[in-house]
Amino acid sequence: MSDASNHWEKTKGLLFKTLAVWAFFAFIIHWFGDALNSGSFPGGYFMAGMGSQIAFAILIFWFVMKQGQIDDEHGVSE
Amino acid sequence: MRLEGGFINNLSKVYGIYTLGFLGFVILMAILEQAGVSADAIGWMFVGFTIAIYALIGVLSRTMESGQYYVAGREVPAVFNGMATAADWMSGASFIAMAGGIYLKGYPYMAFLVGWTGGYVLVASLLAPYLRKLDAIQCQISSARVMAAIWRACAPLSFWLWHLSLM
Repeated sequence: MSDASNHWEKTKGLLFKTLAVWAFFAFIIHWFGDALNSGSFPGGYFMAGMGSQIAFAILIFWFVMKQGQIDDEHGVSE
Repeated sequence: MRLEGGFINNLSKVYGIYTLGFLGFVILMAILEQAGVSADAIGWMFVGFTIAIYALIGVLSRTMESGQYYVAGREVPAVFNGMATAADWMSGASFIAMAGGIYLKGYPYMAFLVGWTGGYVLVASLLAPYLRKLDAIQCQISSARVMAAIWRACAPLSFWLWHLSLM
């Protein structure tokens, strides 16, 4: 496998991991919003108002760090 | 004021001065308000100051090169670019739309919060790699436009998907 396509494979793998985490915090956790709200702490409200946003911000930083590592490995970093 | 070593090397300093200036301006307005200046006058000062500072920034960083104009010569570090993008999160339109939406429909409109912020993840993971693959400085202008257009499309799209999933 050429170096370029290997780089692209890894980038694609990172994309699917990122999308999986994104889907969890964008959809899946909110499907259980009512259940999360039913306890003493309004977890569903918190996740929509703050929790998911924090998760997304961390996810973007993590994604950029990982992409940077992949680029460094293949000598194509900017 | 002279900065040693050019603009990019002093970004933190420039941003710090700008932020302190902004805070100072807000405090000055508060003092003027306490001193009895009318709300109209303070409103005009806010608008005037904003236009003046943007005009000043524009004059200070004027350029005839398209690369400088669209992407600041690709010199601005990613975190600073990210801060500018994050500030765009809460534009005037989104502020009004969100306040109005939540007022009108209540909690379901918190979908906006998740959709918008999640849209940034989609932009980073689904668009940026392809734009970088295309790269090519020749198409930086068109790709910047495509990026802006898709970026705008992404937020409502993810909101809409979110909404569908809850129905």
